[in-house]
Amino acid sequence: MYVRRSVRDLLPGDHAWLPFCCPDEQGHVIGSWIAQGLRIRDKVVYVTDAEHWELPGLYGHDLSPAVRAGLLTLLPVGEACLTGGMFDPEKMLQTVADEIAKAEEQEFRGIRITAETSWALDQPFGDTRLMVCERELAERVGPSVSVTAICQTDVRRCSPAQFDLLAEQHEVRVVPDPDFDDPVLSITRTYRPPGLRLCGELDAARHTHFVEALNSLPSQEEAIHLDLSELDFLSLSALRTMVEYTRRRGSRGAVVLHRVPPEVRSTLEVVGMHRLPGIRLDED
Amino acid sequence: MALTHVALPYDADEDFLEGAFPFLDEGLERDETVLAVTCEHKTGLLREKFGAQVRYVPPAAFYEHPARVVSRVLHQMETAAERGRRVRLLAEPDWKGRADWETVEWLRLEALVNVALARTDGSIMCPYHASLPRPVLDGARHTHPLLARDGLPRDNPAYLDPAVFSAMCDPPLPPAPGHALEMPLRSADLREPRALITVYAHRYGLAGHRLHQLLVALTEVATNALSHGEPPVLLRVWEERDALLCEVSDRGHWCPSERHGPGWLPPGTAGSPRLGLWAVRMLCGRVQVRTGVEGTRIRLHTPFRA
Repeated sequence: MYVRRSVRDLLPGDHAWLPFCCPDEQGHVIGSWIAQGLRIRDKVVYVTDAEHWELPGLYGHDLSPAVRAGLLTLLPVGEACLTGGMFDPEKMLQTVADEIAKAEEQEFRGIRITAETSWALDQPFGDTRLMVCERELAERVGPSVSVTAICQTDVRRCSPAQFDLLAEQHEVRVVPDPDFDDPVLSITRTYRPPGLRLCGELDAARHTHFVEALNSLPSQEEAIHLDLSELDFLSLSALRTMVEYTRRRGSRGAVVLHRVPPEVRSTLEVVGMHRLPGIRLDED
Repeated sequence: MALTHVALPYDADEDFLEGAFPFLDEGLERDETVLAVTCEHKTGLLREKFGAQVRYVPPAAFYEHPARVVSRVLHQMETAAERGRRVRLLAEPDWKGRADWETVEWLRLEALVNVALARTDGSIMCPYHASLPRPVLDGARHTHPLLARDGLPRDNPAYLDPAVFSAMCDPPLPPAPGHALEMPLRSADLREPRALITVYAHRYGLAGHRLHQLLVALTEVATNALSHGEPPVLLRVWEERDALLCEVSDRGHWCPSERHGPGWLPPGTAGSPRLGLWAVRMLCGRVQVRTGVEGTRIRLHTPFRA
């Protein structure tokens, strides 16, 4: 069991997981998390071999002022957590502990730590070592009132069993900030499968935001997927919007509705899916 | 390719069979999908002759809701056509125990079938017993282009244009009662009216899917009034006998482009602008639309019990 939290809602003490399936997803979350941290003058520590201008979601951004000011620290992987070329959990934990101690000494109010460690899964016993590290990290971050951590995993490099193991180690899963939200509706981009998560009530009053979010989705995808598990109301005008959207995308385009609440489903069934060309119900 | 829609007036069982046998026989000979919707007694008579070649459906299950029946039969005929098959239907509702307005709505359906299913090559025969009340028999004469006599379908001179017949089914609406709850609608954000109706509906035990469907229908009607009508747009809610009534009114004189009245016919595809009111009719028990120089009123009826 895990809670889903958007980037801006992450709290000190959160040991969050970001399983991502493409650079866009990674950048959407990590880029905004780093940018928000720097904006409020949190300490940001990133274990990566990347340069400051090539961080996920911030490619081409000159972050050298933040590096010089000591707000952003990029630690090369070798220095941070490798022993003889192998992932070393003890070394990683020590690095993290040292960085936290330093930042606390400098009286940072918030400390953000992240690393992408999927490569370690390819090494012999890599997953076991990673689990040791994750378990320990969860215990250290959990009680903290200043540290937030995001562990990044490229799911394309991870077996289903490894995915489950990693999932178990994290109580929080971080998702992008919503494209749109107000007290009535929130629209959040999803990547696996590609689409949107809609929460709240969608009627004509927020039609424009829905259209904008649909239009921002990658056009090369065959189908786009809407997660409706937390949607309480879906108007006929929103269904029309979906039909028009699939029509614009041409014959390949479809909108697949996932986890449709029973009451919304009853409406769709009465209207009849055959009167809503391009929209499909996923039976998951 | 066209619909065949024929009325079969009958008195004794023999008259019924004289029309029904050749009708169903023809369908079986042509390898069509053949359905019979009629009372238990006559289903028994048909079963003696046709056995399992014909699918028998009890009227209560078939005639569940006017708009939904048309939609379902149309869909059935269309999907059958894709597989190169035709559908043949012998359909006799149970007219007993229907309120006057229900009788009117089912007769209107008989008229609209001629348009909604016009492009299918289905065949429908509707038996009418001679003992039925006068208005039902008159309605049958006005809504079937063909009448079966001596076992053969013949042109029916009393047949009326379905648009004309449908308009005749719309008597003037009495005004909403004085005790109706009234709420002006100004913004497309319709959460508050939905919340209000929910509270009101719960008081009468109306909840779950049926309430949700009403809210979807109401939102559609109110959104239309707000975007195309003339202010003030008013929502009125009240109860009448055993139904919850919601009415949305505005000052605009709306001229529906559809010849047969707004939203009566299933849209070809949902993207066509006609999905809205048609879907509203699918979602609600009864939908009354009245428009004129004094404004437009749309009244949605939701029975407290299904």
